[in-house]
Amino acid sequence: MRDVVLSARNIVFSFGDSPEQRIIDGVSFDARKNEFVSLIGPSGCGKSTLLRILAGLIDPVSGEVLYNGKRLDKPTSELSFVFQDFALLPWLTNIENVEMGLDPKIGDEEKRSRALATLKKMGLENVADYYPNALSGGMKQRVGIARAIISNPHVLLMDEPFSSLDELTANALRGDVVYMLRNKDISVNSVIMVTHNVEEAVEMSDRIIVLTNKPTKVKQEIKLGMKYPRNRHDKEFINMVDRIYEALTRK
Amino acid sequence: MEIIAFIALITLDTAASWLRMFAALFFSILISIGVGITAAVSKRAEKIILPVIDIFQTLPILAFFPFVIYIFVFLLPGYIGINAAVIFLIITSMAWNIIFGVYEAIKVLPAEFLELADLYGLGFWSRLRKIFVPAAMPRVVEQSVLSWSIGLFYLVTSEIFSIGNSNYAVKYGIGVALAQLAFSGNYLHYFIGILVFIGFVIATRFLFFRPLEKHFTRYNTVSEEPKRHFVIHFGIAKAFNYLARLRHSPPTRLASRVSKRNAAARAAIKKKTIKEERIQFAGAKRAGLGIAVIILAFLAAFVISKYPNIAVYEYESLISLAASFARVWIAFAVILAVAFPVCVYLVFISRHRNSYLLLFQIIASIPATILLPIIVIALRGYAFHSELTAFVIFFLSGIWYIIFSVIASSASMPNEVFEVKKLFGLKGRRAWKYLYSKAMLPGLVTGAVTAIAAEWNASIVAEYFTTTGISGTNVVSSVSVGIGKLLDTSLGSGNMLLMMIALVNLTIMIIIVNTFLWKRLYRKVSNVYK
Repeated sequence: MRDVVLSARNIVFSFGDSPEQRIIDGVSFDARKNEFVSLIGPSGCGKSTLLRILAGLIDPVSGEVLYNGKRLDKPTSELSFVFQDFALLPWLTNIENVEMGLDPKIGDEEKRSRALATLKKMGLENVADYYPNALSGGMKQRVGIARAIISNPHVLLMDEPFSSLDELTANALRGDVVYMLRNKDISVNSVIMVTHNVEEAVEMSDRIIVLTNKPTKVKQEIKLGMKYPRNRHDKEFINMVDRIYEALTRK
Repeated sequence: MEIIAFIALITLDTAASWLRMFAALFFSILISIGVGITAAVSKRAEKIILPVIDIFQTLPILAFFPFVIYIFVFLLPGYIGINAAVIFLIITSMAWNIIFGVYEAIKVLPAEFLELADLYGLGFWSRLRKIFVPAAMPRVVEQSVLSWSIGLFYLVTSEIFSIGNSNYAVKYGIGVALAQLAFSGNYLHYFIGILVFIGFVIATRFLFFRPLEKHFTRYNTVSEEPKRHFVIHFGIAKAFNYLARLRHSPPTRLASRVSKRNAAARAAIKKKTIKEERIQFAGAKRAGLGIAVIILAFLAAFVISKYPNIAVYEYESLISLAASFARVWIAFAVILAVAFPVCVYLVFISRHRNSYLLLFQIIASIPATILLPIIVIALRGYAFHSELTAFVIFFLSGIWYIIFSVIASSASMPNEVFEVKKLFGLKGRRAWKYLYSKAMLPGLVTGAVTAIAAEWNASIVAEYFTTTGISGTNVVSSVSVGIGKLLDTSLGSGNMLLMMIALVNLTIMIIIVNTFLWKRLYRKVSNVYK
């Protein structure tokens, strides 16, 4: 068994005190080294909140998040976050947005050269000094990913990172992300992605955790043994998609 | 030769006034950023700051700070004290809507931006520098344009003010200069002075605000250049619109404008406390109200028995308020009668809308107060000349808000409206019935709120005017009864108790009208049109 990197232990979250108001009701799972885990469930089921708890942005009502065995209660640069709507600051240029991901103590020159190198990795060195709103959605999310990986984090948390993009752009970016992870281009070795897109989860994940709606609980964990890159037309792929759909819709 | 020397002199005067304006704007922005951000990030501060500012910006602020001015003038020597007092007065007219602008800008900030700050461990100053201030700046600039014109309105009256029996005036200033010229009968010079003033207004708009707007909106829009001329027009108009909308948007409405996802993220953190507060609040509110009424009744009985004057003052205030109320609303009716056809023409008929708008904006840039001396002189000798003066000032103070607000809101009118007009050949009475009277309603309501508020603000100038501060000859324009006059004369004679009572009455009336008329009307309109 590979080492557990990030572990959720019996996470509970609610808006009120009574058990009926629970949004997340006792979720536990592990993410291991060199593993891509997808959390999949119906829209509005508290997946994003769960991911924010893992990132240390929101405190759970009870339960805990362990990173390398230690309790995590505030954001750290070892864990990085990719937002659904990119969350680029519109008043900063793209390169300045990426520089934000670095330790503020680093000197300006080094910041810039590292940011430029990361942008280059994402194929964006030509738009470094543009403002984000001059870019297409796909390019914005590439900037968002650049900001997330620049600090050499070990874990990447992604909140529906492709759902604001059109299908064609999303496909290309998914391919790039999988390629970077498989080829060890980046420091990240564990990914947790929230999604409601079954094909996307099957294309990218080593393991898929199916969640229930209202309250969020773990319904089923499914391990995928398929090789990368995966082809959506393979029999194995199609069967897996069916299996996940079945798990999602089953009472 | 003599004319050139005069122009140089009047330019110097205007420059001196502009220095005061810039100083006031600078401090207003500093204050706004501090207060606005505090209100937006702290729930507790929000509860106090918002209602206070809401009231402050509807009141004739000049009357509010006699003590502060007193302190300025007596603590600081000579003209420094007077200038500090003038700048302070202008700040009190400028700051409010900039605060609201900052507050709203921070409030609609996506929750992700704050999460970013947490993720990357930004400290207090980094947060301010990287997130809050840049997020607020576009609105700060936009509101500053509006504040500038409000400031100009008060500049003139601020440069001449009186405390008790002493009158003060700054040495160099366009307000003082123009008043002196008008009352010495030097009309040619007076008009040249106004032209110089307009020149300054236009130059400020294009050389100061326009570059700022461009600078701070550069990251928001990619290709803004072709619409350049529109931006100038709508910049001001939009600001009016925002102001009016803000006044009617409780924080919860603001929150709902943030995307649903963000709201959910916020709710995850805040919902619990809000819900609990609400339940406690409803019960506590009713009990509190009852207790407050009883205490107030006892207090009133006690105070009146001790100071019998108060009952007399209250009576005087109510009569004055009633008279001013009639004046303000009659002027408003006339404004509507004039502005409505003008708006219909501009929105639906005219092909030269932008040229007209430019013309209007230049005219609107002349604050009514600067025309006051000449209006007083022109109307002198006619029956009811003081009433007429007051009416003209009310009219000029209010009308532009309506016109600019309607034009701004018509910009967001879907193009289909114009296509429907063409398709069904709507003209004349049918067009009035189906189109004109309805389509412009949202802009009309928002404009009306600001117009009425502007009228109340102007009452202190419109109803009572005296030149004792600047020249030996005493020219007075004074209505027989009015709340503006009462505030002026009570302040002038040092009767602070009377002034406070008049002010409280005015405040209560404004709150009542806001709550029972404007808020309801606004809700009705926005339900139908959204």
